[in-house]
Amino acid sequence: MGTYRMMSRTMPDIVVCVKQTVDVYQLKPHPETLAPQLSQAQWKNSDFDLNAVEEAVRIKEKSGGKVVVVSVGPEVKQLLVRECLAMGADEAYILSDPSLAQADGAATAKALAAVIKTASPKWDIILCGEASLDQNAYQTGPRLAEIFNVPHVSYVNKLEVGDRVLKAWRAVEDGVEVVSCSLPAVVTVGLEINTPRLPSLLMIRAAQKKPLKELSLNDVGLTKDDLMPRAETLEVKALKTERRRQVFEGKVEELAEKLAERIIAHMGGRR
Amino acid sequence: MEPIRETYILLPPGTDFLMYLVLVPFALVFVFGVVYRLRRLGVRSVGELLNSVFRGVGYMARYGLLQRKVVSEHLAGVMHLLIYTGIIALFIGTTLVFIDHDILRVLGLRLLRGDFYLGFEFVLDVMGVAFLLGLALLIYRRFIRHEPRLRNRLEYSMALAGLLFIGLSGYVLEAIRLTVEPRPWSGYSFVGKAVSTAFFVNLPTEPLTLLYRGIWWSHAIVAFAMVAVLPYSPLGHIFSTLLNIAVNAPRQLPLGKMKTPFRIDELDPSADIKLGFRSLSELGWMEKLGLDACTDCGRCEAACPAHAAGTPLSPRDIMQKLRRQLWRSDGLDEDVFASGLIDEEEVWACTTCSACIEACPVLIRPMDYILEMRRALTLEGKLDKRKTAMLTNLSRYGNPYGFDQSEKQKFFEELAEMGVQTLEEKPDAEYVYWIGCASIYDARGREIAKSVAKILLKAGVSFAVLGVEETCTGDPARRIGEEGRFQELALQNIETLKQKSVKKIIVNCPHCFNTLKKEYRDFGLELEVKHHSQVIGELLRTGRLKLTKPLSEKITLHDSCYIGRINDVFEEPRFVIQSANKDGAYVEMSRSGRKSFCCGAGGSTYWYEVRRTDRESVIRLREAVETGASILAVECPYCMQMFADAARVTGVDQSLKIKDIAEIVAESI
Repeated sequence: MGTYRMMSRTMPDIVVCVKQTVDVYQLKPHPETLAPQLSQAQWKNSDFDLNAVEEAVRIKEKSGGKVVVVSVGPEVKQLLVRECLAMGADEAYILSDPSLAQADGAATAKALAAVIKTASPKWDIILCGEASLDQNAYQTGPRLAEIFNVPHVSYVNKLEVGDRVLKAWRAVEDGVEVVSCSLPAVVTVGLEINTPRLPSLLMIRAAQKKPLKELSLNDVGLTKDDLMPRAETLEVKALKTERRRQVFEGKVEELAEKLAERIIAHMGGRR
Repeated sequence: MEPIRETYILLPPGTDFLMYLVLVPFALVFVFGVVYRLRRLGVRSVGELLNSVFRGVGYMARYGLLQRKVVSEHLAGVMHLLIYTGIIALFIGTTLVFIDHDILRVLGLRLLRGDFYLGFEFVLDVMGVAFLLGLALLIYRRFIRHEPRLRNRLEYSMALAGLLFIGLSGYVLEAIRLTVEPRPWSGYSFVGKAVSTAFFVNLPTEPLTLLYRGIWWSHAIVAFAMVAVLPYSPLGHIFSTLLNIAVNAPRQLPLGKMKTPFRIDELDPSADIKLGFRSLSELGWMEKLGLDACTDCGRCEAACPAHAAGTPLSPRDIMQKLRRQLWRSDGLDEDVFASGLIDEEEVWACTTCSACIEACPVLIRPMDYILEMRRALTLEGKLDKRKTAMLTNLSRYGNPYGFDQSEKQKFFEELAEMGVQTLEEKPDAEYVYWIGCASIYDARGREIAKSVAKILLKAGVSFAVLGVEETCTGDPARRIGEEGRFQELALQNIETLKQKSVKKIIVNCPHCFNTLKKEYRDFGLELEVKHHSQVIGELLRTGRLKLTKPLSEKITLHDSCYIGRINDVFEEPRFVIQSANKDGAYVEMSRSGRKSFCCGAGGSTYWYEVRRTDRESVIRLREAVETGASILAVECPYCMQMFADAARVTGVDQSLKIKDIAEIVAESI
């Protein structure tokens, strides 16, 4: 259980958890093994997490308070964290440890919680992306809420923060669910909640003035064993797809007919 | 009896003294206005002002006194010239009268006598007619023809009424004088004489004299009042435009070059960051002077493609809004966006085609203000998805499309199959052919690059490509206002080019052309950059390239902004087309050369949307269709894409083919 502020305040302190992932849109599988070629890949802040940073900064712009960025991973890149600071976050804490290379949602949540307890124990809201760009597991946010024993709201695409309370619009399958809960709480957001600002290069440079602190496992009271994943990844492979390369010839009307037939046949005859 | 000027005739003695007494308060109001206006602009000292003016005297003479750009538009030019020369002549006339009556006469001398006086009377009558003719043209343009770009404001009408009154009452005074005190030489004042004959002969002398005195005083007071309000009214442009030309023309950058506000590699990270402007207090007095000199003539608006396409942008509105803001009591410190004065979309709509700069008769540069405001917006990064995506792609993948390296590799392999070598394979190549993202990644654009390569290979030009090391020049980043990311790309490219000792470059993209040629200089790289039209032209002139299959088409050319107006290449593309199209015809569009109309893709606007009612590309394509041409020739891969889309949308893609000049030439080899 975290030690968070219980007093009523209007300026929320927000912690945003940001994961650095490989740019999956650019990830190419190895032609033979079909394993993703991670060594050539570029790294970026996970898209959903940038939405979380943007939302936190917007809340700060409206109500004041502080935005703290926390990032954990096998090798957290400072430049990418600076991008979050340039977006308007106030300070950042990072924990890099090779043991996090295999981390699943449970291990990541444990690491994040340890950093938050050490570096920013007084918080009102933790914002996360609802999932990560690379693993898409939707685990970390809810697990964090469990660790801190606070309410969590997921799949949020609109958020209002009031006095010790928040109101959230959740994108659920059949529509939108509007919920509210007391603070502190953990909120995970989707891509629809906002358009993250793009910090200009000049802003990223200027963000060098903002505090960014590297922590070690030792600093946050963790051991490598604490970060063992619950699930083990055996293999990652790309789906092998091949085009059918079918060419139809004839009049436009007939072609459309033929094409439609093929598509229907491919879908198992369902229209 | 010798002809002589009889000043203050028909007026009671002492009128001259009384007139000067009346003049004093008006003169004070005038002087106060001038001082106030200069102070408000932020001019710190007269010395600084005179210094700046002195540097630009040549420009002031050419574009101010001689009105070089004002007369470039016929009706408006003639109108302005008539009013302008009329006022100057009448002012000189009045000054001569002052010298004659108040200085020389006191010394017992006279200037306005004999033949000189007769000439004086004649010339002033002629110039008065010119002045009134000019005003008549003004009335015609504003109130009869209703030229859409002319705006009617109360202050404009009052200025017109004042000028009209001075012109007409001058002749009435002359006519009454000649009626009451006829002189044998009155024929020299031919207008006054005619008015006298038509209206005043045979009228009793006494009421005429009284009428004369009344009109004389009203003529004087209206004239004084017009002078007094000069610094406060649109007529103040007489001075503000001259000042603007003198002060700003010498320090203006060449077209196509943006100000480099900092060097990212020399930046002190702890320094405060500032880029562009969001309030007028961030502008220097010279920039404010540029705003102040805008006379609302609307020429920039009439030339602006974004305005024609129904976007919220009008360069004239931008200037006029900022100008009025300049004089509002708390206007200087107000944020132009937060206050709602300027809509962000206005700033985003600009294609940086520079037509507004070309159009302005008094050398104001609306586009510079627009781009500086853009820089301020981009600095904060509150951009929409498309702009964000383009900039992210530039940083991450080195091209605005967001394609990864393998896509680039694929195309260079295709070129290699044609026999194109990389600089690595051919380190002694004379030229580097810089292909540009639009021709590396876009399928249609690739055809242009292949045609260029085919021509260069055929003519035996010593050239090579950079291959996968070629990245975006940074042009879209700079023009969207992201100076940092532009410089990041520029510095990286400059390092590559320097490392490989590249001196000469061939491009087929006008945007790459401009950036490599003009913008990289600020970062220490001087290159000889040639557009493919120039290279092909040279090959044809020297006979190194022979065209054996002349085309017989009807071709028109769309001058791209960044090769044409901005970099002055007009001849070569036409020569190349005509050489390839020996058996056909070449036709010009109604707007061509320097007056060409942007396709709508420049200034990075290709990469995002702005709310609009029409498209620049569709408007321009219609002009091409009107020529009856079978081929619309382009010299830019972005123009190509814009017109290809427009042709599909308007359904002319069957009747009008759109081809790059390289493709036209490649076909006739």
